Amino acid sequence: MVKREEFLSQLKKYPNLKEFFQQAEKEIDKAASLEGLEKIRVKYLGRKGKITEILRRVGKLPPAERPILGKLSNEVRIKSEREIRLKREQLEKQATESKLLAEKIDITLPGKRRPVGKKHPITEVIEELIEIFLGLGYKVAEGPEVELDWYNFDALNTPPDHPARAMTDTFYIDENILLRTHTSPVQIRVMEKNKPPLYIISPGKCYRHDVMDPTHSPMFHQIEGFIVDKNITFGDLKGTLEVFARSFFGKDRKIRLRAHFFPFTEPSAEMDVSCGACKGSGCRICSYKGWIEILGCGMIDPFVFETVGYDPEEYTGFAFGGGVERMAILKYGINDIRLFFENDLRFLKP
Amino acid sequence: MKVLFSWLKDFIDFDLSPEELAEKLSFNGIEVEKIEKLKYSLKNVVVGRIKEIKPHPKAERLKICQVDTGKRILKIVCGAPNIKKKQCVPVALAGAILADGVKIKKTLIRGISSDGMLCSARELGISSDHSGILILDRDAKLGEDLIKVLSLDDAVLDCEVTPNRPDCLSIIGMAREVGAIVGKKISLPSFQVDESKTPLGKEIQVKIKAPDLCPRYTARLIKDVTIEHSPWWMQRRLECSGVRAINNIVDVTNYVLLEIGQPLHAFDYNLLSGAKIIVRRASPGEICLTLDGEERVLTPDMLVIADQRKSVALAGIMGGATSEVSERTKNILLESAYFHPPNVLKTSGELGLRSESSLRFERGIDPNNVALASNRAIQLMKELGGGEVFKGIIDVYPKLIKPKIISFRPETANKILGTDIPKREMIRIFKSLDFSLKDNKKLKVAVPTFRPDIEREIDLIEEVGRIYGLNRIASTLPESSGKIGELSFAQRVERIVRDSLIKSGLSEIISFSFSTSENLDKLRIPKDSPLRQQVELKNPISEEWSSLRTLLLPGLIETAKYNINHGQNNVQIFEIGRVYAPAGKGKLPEESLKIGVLLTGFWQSGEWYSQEEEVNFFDLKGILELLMEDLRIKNWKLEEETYPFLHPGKSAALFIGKRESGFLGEIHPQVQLESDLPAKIYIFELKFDSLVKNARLYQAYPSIPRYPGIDYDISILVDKEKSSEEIEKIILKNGGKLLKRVKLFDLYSGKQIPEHKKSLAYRLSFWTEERTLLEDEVKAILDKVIKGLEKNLGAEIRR
Repeated sequence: MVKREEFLSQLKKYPNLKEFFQQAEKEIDKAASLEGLEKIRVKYLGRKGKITEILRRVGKLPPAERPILGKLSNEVRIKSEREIRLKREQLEKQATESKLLAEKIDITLPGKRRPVGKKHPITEVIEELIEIFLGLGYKVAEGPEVELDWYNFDALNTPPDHPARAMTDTFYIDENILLRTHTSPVQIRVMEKNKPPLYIISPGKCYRHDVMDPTHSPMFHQIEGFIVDKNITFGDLKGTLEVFARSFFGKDRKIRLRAHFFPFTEPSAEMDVSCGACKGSGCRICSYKGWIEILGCGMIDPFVFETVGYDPEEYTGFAFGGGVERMAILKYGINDIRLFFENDLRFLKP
Repeated sequence: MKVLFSWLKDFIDFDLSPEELAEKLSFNGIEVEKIEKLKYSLKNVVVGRIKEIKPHPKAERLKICQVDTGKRILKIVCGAPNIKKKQCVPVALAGAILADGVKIKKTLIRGISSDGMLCSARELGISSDHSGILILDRDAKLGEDLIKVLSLDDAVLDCEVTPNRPDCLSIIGMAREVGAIVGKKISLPSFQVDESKTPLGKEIQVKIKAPDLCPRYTARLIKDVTIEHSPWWMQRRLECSGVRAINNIVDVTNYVLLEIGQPLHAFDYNLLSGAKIIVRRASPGEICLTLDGEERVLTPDMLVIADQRKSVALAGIMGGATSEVSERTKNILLESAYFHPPNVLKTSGELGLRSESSLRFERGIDPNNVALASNRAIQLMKELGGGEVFKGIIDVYPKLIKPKIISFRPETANKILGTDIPKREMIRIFKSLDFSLKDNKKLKVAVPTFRPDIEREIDLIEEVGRIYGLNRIASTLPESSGKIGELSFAQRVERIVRDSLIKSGLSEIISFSFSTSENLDKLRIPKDSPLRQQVELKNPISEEWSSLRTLLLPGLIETAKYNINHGQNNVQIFEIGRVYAPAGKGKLPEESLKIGVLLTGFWQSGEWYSQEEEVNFFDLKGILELLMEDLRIKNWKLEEETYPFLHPGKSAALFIGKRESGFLGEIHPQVQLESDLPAKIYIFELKFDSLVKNARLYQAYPSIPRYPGIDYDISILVDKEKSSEEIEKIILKNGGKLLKRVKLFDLYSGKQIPEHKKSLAYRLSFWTEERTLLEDEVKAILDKVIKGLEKNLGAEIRR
């Protein structure tokens, strides 16, 4: 396309055309709204527009003049149309921008929430523990909460005259039926019905005759794990508990075992996990010990195997069990066991 | 068991701080729960020797002493009755601070200046004895700090002794554990008795009539003792161990109980009738007045110690009041015996009477230490109370209890522990525990009688692991044998249920399994309802928790109430828990899992954006529908049904197939009112096993239409009684194969609609997989639908 100066000089011979062109240019430039711009378009390029009029008249000119004026006036039309288009785009953009600006919101207002529910923290812990042990090849077993004393005590090497039995505060239904005091009777129930190898994890409710206080509840949850197979060692128990402690409490956690006594495991131990709050240096949470007691464990006592008809020379196994509330308390920083059963929605849906 | 640190050093020499020892003991199976440091605020109290005693010129009871503290001779005014020349005594110098915080300064006492003060045990804070000045050993070093002289820098380890280790309920037993830890043997003094020449003869006879319950009984006699306070060191040791000091004789029995672990009993010999001790079963209804002043009614299963006329002690549990040692006592019969552990446990349990003595007997003391403990005690009695010990001991021990011999295979130990501990190390461990090895080739281990917990090879393996150190065992994982971890079908269904309810906006609760029939009264459950058949607890914690629940509903309502009372009015919760039904006497109750849901209040309220929407029956039903959808259960339906606790017009039974599987509805306004609940409550309760039976874990995905379909909206005016279900049925029946979906999108009754009528608007969606539908064919179907509705329901239709 020719340069503007050149084009204007070409228009010299047609003062009307030049004037309209320059007028249109000026008006377009000044147009402040899309409506105004449309009026300008109609004024010059509409059906009765000034430039359109000239174009229309070209046909009536002598044939010699037609090509030049035709070309020039057409060019004026094209150029003006382009100006209008550019201006329209500019105005449209401005309009959109000011419209969006007017729609500005306060992004600091709180978000809109759908009503949602939440799992109970005890369920959260149980499911997380189950996931860990599913990964280690365990299956989940459940047992009755109302148990025969035989499963709860006798079969677990705790006969009626055993001091450990007298130490446990038990709810009784009648002479031989009670609310289980731990999840360990599931060991017997599973072993009775199945042959080794067994890899079992068993969560559930347990009951002890304790009055409610910040650390006791007559109903609570335990999780029991046990395996029976050939060549299972105490080292396997230790390794398994390490996997558990690290995946449940955190990779940096350590465990230690303290020898202990349970009638149905031998050797028996209690497992401590290094305190996560102070990294073992001692703080209020761990009673300044650096370690926190988590669960009891041990190699399954040969007495138990004999009770269910397994040969203790052929099979060995280990078992461990701990309180779910305690694990939840430690993991989630909860300070009172009663919160789990009050079911205050401010606690359940924080 | 409270273990005084310095007492241990009587029997074992070790070089550990209380903290170090506590940690080692804890790893070895005796958890030290607390270390109580004995802090004495004593300052500037030193040893001095009394050189001279003169009377005070102005006060009859006071004396003026010249006391040598090594560097200086002090003049001290003292009023204690027991001071004598040449005694070594504690001297509080000017500037000293006593146990009770009293500051000592140079002062005038009735005109005589006193440079300091001589102190009693109580003033020093080491025992409650204030009968006189504490007399120290004659060879105490003059001027030495008293804290050092009396080794008062001490600690009490509060130990949790597990029930399998009765031997550790004694200082000697604990010292033996310490020995095993530090690799040293304990040194037991030979408790020589300074006996008189008079042999024990017809003064006393012992007859055991129940040898099964009393395998050994010994008696010793001491005469002409003086009952007085024990010396400060004994009082201090007792008090640090949590035992109150009483008098020298009773204190000795307690002291030896703590030291050796053998419970003893001292009878006032003169208060026994007849020169006879009879160990026998109680006669039915026999009454024994025990030391605590209670009259105990006995049964023939209980063992008593009796004189010729009556029972004078509950064997191994508590002595009788009638022969109690008092200030007037002169002659003592000392009992040291071994009683059958289960019988002591049973008797003390039945009588609800536990003592330091019964605690040890029920767990099993060492039957072969019985005489040793008697000798130790009688000698201490003589030393502290004077008198004359008869020569000899009556020891009725018909059948010697011998150490157990247990075969032990080192390779089995290593196999179970997962270790590689050499045999010689295992032998060393056994020896450190005072176990002896009968035959070094086969390894037969003789376990002393103080360890009743060691009965089998596995028990020995535990000792090896324990003393070797459980934390030294290398961690391994069981060899994988292609085992697969997975959830059962029912366990997966439970997870789907939980996820579905949470997705619907409900929060999970866990409430107590305990209940009471009162909860059922509140729900107006009739007396003959099976829900009234509750499992009752024999020993409930409280009346409100006296049985096991048969419904989840009360727990859900309680939880709603709790939250409403705490300002949380919008409660949308669920519980997955068991209910319990009795299955007959001697049988375990039937436990079944149920799912309970409760809605009340608004879904959301008090939000800046929300339109508050109160929950209603159809929220509840929607949750149920989604649950069934998530479980892919299709064959379910609701049927109108009434329940005593539900609104009769807003309640239904859930059927899955033909089985009634739950109920849902609005809580009866009367029940709501009586339960003090401010808003309407909607609940459902389902049987989990019905869901499991019908659930599917997955289903094929539907195809979506490729060809455009046609939607038609129709509005139906019908009598109010007609149900939505009826209408839909007729629409579907007449709609044929091309009608794929019927959806109610409006329901109206009120203005512009005749009374007793309602208007329902449905959108009918037609499509087919095969082609684009023609308008005419759909219109033809629609006509058929409309005719069906008109004919069957008398409906008026507007398209």
